[in-house]
Amino acid sequence: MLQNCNLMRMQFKMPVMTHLFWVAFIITYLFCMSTIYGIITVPEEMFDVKNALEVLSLIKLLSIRLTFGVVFLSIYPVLLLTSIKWSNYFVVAVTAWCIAMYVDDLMVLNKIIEYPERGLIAIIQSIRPILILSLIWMSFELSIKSSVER
Amino acid sequence: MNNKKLDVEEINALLESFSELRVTADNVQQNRIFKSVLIFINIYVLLFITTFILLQQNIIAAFNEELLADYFDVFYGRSYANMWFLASLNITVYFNLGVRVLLSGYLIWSLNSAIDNLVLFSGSFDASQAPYLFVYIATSPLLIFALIAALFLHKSYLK
Repeated sequence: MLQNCNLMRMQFKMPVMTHLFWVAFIITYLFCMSTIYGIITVPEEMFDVKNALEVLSLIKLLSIRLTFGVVFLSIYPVLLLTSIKWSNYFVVAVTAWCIAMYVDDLMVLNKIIEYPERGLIAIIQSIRPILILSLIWMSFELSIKSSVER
Repeated sequence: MNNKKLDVEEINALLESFSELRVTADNVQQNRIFKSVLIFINIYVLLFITTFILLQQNIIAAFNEELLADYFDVFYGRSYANMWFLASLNITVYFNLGVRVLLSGYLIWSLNSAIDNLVLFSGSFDASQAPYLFVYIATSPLLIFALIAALFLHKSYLK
């Protein structure tokens, strides 16, 4: 039993990171959780019913992103506690994906999806660059940390 | 002349560093499969861009004008992004510098686009209504596989 506990302690090790990293970590988590809450509880009257196709497209897209958010929230802490190298790869991939989604939404999908103009989703939409900045900072710090460890 | 931002010596140094980079890149012989994959990516993306330019200019007929008008902006935006990625990919392969970083970025973007296309357009139309869009959506996994293959086959330095 004691041996198993020691083994667990060896496998799960709290990484030593800067305060800024943990601030970015908390911002990312708060953002993802409020997004999930916003998507689940969004009231129907928030949408413009005249643009049914746009609303349907948005709902389809949000359901996929919701799954993606849940997977990220569950995998990231486990990776962070077990391996800096793999958490670095994971965060870099997620950052690139978030940037791709943001640019895609702004430049390509803006005409076929319709975000609600008020409420939590609208606030989340406006603070997306902050999430991207937080992810970039975490990627940057994890890259340095993993290259130092190597 | 004092106001010049770069003098002749600095320009020469810059050109020399580029030619040195080319010499280093020439020393690394890429795998034949990698070259084939790269040619495939070029042909696929160029065909995609050409199709959308031809559709936009009304040179080839759209089977369902109304449907195309709804989704045209999406595919046109994607064709532009593909063009920039393709140009950057060819430049990085030429200098053998940052190829993997660019391929990773391109792969993630393509994956995101493929998922978005699949989610947004599934059930919206069938092959007879918009064959070009349908072919693009159906064949987008090919580009993803090609990018993954290129990522694994690329040699960045001499072993």
